[in-house]
Amino acid sequence: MDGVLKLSHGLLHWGAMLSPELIDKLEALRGAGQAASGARACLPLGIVALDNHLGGGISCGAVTEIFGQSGQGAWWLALRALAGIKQKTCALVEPAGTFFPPGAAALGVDLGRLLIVRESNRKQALWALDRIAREKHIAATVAAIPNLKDTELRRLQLAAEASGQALVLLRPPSELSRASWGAMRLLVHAQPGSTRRLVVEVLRVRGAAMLRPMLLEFDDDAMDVRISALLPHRADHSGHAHRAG
Amino acid sequence: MDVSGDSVTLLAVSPLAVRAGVCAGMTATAARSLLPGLTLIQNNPDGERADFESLAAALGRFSPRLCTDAPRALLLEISGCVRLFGSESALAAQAAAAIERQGYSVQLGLAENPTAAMTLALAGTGKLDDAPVAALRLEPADLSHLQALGVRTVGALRQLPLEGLPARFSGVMLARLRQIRGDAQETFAAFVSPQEIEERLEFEGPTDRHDALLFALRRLAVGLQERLAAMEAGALGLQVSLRATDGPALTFPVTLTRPTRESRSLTALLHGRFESVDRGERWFDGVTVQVSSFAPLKAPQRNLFEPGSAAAERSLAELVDELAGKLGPAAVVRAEITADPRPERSFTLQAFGQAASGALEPRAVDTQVARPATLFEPHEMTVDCDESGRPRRWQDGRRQSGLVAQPVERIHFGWWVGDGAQRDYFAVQDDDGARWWLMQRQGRWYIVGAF
Repeated sequence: MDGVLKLSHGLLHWGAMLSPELIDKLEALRGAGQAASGARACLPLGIVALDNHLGGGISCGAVTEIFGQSGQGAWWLALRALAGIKQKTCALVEPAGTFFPPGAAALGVDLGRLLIVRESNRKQALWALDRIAREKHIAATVAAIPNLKDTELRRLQLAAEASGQALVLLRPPSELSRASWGAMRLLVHAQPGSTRRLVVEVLRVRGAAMLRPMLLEFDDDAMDVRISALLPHRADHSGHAHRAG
Repeated sequence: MDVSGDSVTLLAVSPLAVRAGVCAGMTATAARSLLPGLTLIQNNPDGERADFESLAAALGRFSPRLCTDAPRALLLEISGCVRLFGSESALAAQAAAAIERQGYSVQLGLAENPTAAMTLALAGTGKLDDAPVAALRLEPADLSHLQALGVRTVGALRQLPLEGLPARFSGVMLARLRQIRGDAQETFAAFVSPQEIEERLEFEGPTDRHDALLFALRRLAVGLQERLAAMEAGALGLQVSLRATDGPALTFPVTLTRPTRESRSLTALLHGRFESVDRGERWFDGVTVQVSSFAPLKAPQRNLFEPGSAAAERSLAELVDELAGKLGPAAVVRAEITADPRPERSFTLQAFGQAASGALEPRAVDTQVARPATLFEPHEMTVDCDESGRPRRWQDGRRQSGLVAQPVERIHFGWWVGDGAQRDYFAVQDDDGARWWLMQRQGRWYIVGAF
């Protein structure tokens, strides 16, 4: 494989002499080589402690599910993932039509490169998400489609694997009992107090041991995370039973 | 078959019918006596002419000099174009493939002059001397005379002494012999490509079958690709019209983000858009796709420094077109921040493919001001405030919660907008730690967003 990779690196400079199909194949081979080397491609969330805790961020080429109640930080975390992407197109599929672009822009999301799909019909929105998830030139997609079925999730995971996209699904906690086909499952919830404090629980990371929850405390003046700390495992994790995909 | 008066004549027959002894020129009655199960299809001269012209226009990309001998032959003068394709045979193979992609079979003839090329193509042979004399397009009297003499091939005809022929044969045959040798030039009608690009397909019978209609659209997309390639152009807009057997035609437009001519992309767009239109219980007997607008499209160039960038741009444009085709352009958008202080008007949504609006620079976003991730329809609620007017407790039906309010943000706007002229927004945190955006307007409170 190394030989092929070196060859492909060299040949890319000879683009004009090679057919586009051959170059695509060599690029695919190079990607396969990187995957085989064991390095997991990640999309950082921009919070150093959390990124380190998650092994670099959320996975590319996989589904990451973020569960959370409205107003409790799930959207914030998903938009942080999009904010980390520069010079590439991202997508957002949101049937409810409540996404507020200035909120995303304030977090650093490049609105000029954010493809927003506002389709209220669930079936159509799911079709759009499936189509977008297969597009290898989209770096990451955030979607908030309710009541995703196991087969739909499995299909989305396969699409993300094929395209290399980081596919983030925002889901309500009521769907926590559903099977997980994704690479990562996070639960975000707020904690009472005078300042904003969010707890990110890592319910599942494919191929890794159970990780401890992380507390993020915000500095309201700086509009960003001020303190982060690992919390002990919650005793009631069994309540969030999740079957492995 | 052709119907003239009471007689029905066969114009063309399938290989299966030929094996049963049926041939073109036979009457339907005679053919049925040989093959009782014969299926007859009425010819459509107008449709054939339109198809022929469409095919001719598509072949314009192989040569700018194109003549026709409608409705059976197209002549391409390729001497100046061969170097662009490598060789004569490579050009011929590409032209044949372009025709076959549209669902037609083709017989090619390559020769030094148009008459010889036409003879080879009509005969379907590689050598001129092996071609049957009928391929010379002679008068029927000349043909029967030659048959009586036992002259069946062009080679045999060429061996006859030329000086004795004028007395026995018409001028057409003598002219043809001179033309085939290159001593004289046969004239053909020059073909002028129509400026309108339109592809149509007539169905053999009315249909309401979904898969049949999708197939028709795919076939037309292939035809459009060839036509657009001949014009070095890509489609920016299509107009589809499905002719209904009763009632008005079903028409719908398809808009593209960037000039496109690949049949695969056009098919995906046509299919997506077709599936989103309500066609009711109607049956259709024909479909037309017209290119309503197009733009020049250069041959794709590979970028040496960023091998994937051109491909990425093309691929994304295809994705956007496909989504917009199925969901409608209003559902596939990007947001742009505006200068309006009212949150619900602080951004606009535009079709994703469009260039940025008039603003020179996108309006900078103040990252130091709290903005929620979601904004919903204002929902009125009861809020208790402290002495300074800051929200302290909220009640919404049976739900209630204490609030920790962040600094207030007061938004003023001109009285002329007729919207109360002033609102106060509060980022508040409830007992559970969830954060909301509240709005106070003219003494009433609303929840408008969630962080």
